[in-house]
Amino acid sequence: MLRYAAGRVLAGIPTLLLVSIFIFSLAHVTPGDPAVLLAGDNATPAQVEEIRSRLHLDLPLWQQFGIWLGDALQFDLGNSIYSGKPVTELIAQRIEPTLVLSLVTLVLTVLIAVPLGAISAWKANSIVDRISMGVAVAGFSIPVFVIAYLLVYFFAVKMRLFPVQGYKWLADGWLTTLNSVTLPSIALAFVFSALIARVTRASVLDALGENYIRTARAKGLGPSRILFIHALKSVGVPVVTVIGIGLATLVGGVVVTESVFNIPGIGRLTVDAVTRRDYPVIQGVILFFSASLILINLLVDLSYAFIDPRIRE
Amino acid sequence: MPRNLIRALGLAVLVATASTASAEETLRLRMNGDVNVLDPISTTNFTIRNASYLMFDTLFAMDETYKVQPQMAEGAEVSDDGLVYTITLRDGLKFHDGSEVTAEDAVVSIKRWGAVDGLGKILFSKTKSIEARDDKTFVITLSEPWGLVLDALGKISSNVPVIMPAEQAAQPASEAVNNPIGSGPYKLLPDEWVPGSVVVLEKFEDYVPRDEPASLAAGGKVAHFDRVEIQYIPDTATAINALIAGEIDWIEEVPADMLMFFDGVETAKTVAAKQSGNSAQLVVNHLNPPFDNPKIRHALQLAVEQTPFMQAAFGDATDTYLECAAVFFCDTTYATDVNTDRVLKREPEAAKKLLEEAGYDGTPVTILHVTDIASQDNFYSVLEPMLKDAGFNVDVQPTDWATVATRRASKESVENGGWNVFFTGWGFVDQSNPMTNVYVSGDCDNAWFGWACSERLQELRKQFAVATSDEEKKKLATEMQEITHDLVSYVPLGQAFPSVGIATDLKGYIDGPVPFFWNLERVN
Amino acid sequence: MALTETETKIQAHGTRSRRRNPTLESLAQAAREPWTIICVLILLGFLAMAVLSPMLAGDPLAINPAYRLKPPSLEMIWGTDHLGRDVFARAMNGARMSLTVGVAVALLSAIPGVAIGIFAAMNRTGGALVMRVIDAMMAIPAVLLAIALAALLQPGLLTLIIAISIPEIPRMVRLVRSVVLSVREQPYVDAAVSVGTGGFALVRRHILPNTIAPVIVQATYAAASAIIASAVLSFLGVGTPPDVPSWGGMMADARKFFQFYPMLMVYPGALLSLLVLVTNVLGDRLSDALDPRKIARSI
Repeated sequence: MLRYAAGRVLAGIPTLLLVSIFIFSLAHVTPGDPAVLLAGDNATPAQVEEIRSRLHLDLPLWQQFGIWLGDALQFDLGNSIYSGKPVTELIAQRIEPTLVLSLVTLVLTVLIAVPLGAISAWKANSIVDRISMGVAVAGFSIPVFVIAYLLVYFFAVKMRLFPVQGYKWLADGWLTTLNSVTLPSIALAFVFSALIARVTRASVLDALGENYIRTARAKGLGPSRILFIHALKSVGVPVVTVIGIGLATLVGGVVVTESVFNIPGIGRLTVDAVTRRDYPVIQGVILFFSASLILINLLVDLSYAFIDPRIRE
Repeated sequence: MPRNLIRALGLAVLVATASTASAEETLRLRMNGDVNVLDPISTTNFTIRNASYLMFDTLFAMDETYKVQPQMAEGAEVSDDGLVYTITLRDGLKFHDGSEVTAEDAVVSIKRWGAVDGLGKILFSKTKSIEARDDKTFVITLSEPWGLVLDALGKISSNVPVIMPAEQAAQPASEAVNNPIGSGPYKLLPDEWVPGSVVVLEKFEDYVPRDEPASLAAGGKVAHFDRVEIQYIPDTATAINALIAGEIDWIEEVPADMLMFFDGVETAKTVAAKQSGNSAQLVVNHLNPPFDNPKIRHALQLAVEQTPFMQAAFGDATDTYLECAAVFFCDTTYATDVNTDRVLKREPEAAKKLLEEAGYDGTPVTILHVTDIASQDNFYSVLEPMLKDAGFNVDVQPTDWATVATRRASKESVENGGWNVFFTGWGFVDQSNPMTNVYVSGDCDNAWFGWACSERLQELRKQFAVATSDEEKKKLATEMQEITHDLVSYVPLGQAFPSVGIATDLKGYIDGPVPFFWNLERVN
Repeated sequence: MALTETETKIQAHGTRSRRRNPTLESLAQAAREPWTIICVLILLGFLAMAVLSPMLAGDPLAINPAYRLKPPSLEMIWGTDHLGRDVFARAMNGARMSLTVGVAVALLSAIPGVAIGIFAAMNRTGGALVMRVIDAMMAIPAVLLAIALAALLQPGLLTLIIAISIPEIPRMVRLVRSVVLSVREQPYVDAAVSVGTGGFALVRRHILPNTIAPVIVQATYAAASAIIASAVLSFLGVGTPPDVPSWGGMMADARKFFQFYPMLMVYPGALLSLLVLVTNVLGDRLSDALDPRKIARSI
């Protein structure tokens, strides 16, 4: 087990290294001189030159990369061009809203999508199946911001049930926090559930075709027992995998949703940094999201190995 | 290695546990932009200027009659020959770190401001020395008399000569101060500052307001709120909905075409901000072809007219804007309609003829179409067909405001990162004064972006600085306008009176060219 | 990283590939299904909209600020937007942008995807290296990568297409590679190799035909998600150029007035969602037809 775990962790390192090369090159394929951007309107050429050498922009690219990577390993991602603050600090400030939004969305999604997918599979090709799968396809055919605006219009502007925008910190009480992320989570869950429901249905269909379920049926076990005890058990693994991989899709949704609802999370940070060409922040957030996803998927893999010893082989 | 990580994690916890006291009275503001730095000397950005007024104080300040009054200063003593200004600080001035404000702090702060501000530069060109005499008093000695010393020190708009501790003011103006310390009525809480989202200030208990009633930037600055949060909400519709829902208290600008949001609403209202009028301009680069040719610049004037731009920005709210080609704003001391005909009329055929005469070789006008600011986006969409109609070749490149704001400083050719034209806006206080209006300097290479060049304009401005009679000033200003429009420093597009959105339970709001938040309180 | 749903299924699928070109037969069979026919008809409708928009509607770019935000009239049947432009004309014209982006991204992700995927499967050492790079690209959230690319490169239609295509390529590569790997294990391929069929001939005769079916399905899904992605990028302000009418741009403009003029967002939103929906359903139909065990929509 330990050897397997160590192997998985080691395999993650080159991936992360390649990701950081991509991210580093992003800022260097783009037009425009970061030093000029940093220096601002009143700077003299000498000041621009000074900034260039302070940021090591005068060194060859591979040396710049080395310095950047070395710093990144020490959790120093440089300073924002826009606010002058350390990028790690900016990200740390904004983790909470993004984490809360993602978790609430995940819970909603699992509550909606897994039962929906399971029922659809059980009643494959019935009216229930067709309607729920139809809704699922529609779910990822409508841009998430359209859903978000519809929710704001009806539930915040018209009915005043939820705030129009903003995020309430957990320190102010978790109930107000939950209240402030309800609409954004529903918007996100709508899209994310569509994906998960389809995968759940496919997995359950597969599982229902397996021998031991046929045996269970032959033994005369009731449908609900078969579905919930046997089928869903074996479905757990693929569904968790898909949720792990699907987190990448969720990140995209988070970026948009945080913008619509003005939530001060990492997604908003990303969009703002992009429109301001704030390269250190752009690099920092992409690295952060990518590293988090690699880590989560690693944990998912390891947890299977823990549950199911065969995987370790 | 782990130091940074620990710091980052610690910060996450700190942010999460902060802002607990909800029983306090909090004022929530939404300005047009985000507050990324709190250093009004490092930038002319109006959002930074507005936020800075909460935490910084100034030596002198303008009252509602646009006269300069002492604010941090007790007063100023001027020698008979008008060369020596002795300025004394009033008692009880403290910085937010608890230290006393000294004359040395004032001297270093003024020097930093004088290195970048337009009026400040003029002041320092006439200054022999500026020195602290003791803790409370400093002396400015001029090399020639100049009547605007106190006006410069009491300047209301960017750059506002705010007073900082000497250590911070010793930094060059090109570098923004990182953890700014002020001496104003509100104190910055740096740990709760999330750039791109919110800036939090709390009442500074040791601030001693002046006894006089508040009058614009002058008079007693009484803080009635325990906390002030400046929230950045980029989407205007979202911000207005938040105001109406009671989530925020004030919005700097409600676009005219969004006034309808407030119909039948009781929790919030709009107030026409007559004092904070601003104007829109198309700035022309005199260095790059085709607009290095005066005739082609004239053709540009003939190619456009103001109405469609104003309609695109303000729609049917015709009482919120004014078509106006006066260089120093309409309805002001120096307003005149001299030489405005060539600006106000649109004559595409005449423009085509001029282009032909000028031997226009078809060099395209590169338009850097800003897409991230709604009003500008509209302006560019209106401009493109107008230029095509008048026979210009047009090359449209979509981009964002940050890029244009950077590129406009470049004197290079368009291919090498320069530009031809861009839209911008200036406020009433900045433009109505011939000394601060950037379009009438004629300073060639040293002028504001566009680099219009005219020796006569430079001469006129020098004369204006020392002119004493109102009649003489008016005459000089009129000639400035005539030359400016001949030169086509820019094409004026009209002026507007934006509305402020404010919660109905607030009273004491000061309507001025700059929004001020002292004196404001909540009534139940 | 664990294999995706798609890959495991494709591998299973590969084992029952037939010698005669299965793709054409399956396509012909799929074309007879009512749902496929409906989808294709609607797609043709969108194509007609794009091609015929100059004849059907007025000038989508003509500005008339004095006539802004007007309700529908005989002349402009969907009214005007905040600059007095004809909403109907813009909506019809917007089909061009969405179809262009969809088709271009499908091609730009499929062609390099197939080439790299085959290489990765055929070349042991090089393949391993390529797959490391592909894994790394998969680790970067697609929308994030697209936003960054769209914003950092010179703005324009080509940039938009490239920015959306690049994150799509890794999915295609993994799919193609897994198909090729399973085909390579087939006895008849072994036989072909043993009688001396060389690299290119092998790929052309035996490998490429087997990849066509899954690639068509995946490209259809890629087109659908590209159309959504371009709208999202426009919404975030880094998408389509302002002087080209697009549904995403129209929705971004309309959000300001959403409460008062909801139809300004509903028209382009409904068209966009219908186009994406139909493309997705078509993808599902093709996937059903081309693979009896179904290729799940990969994430």
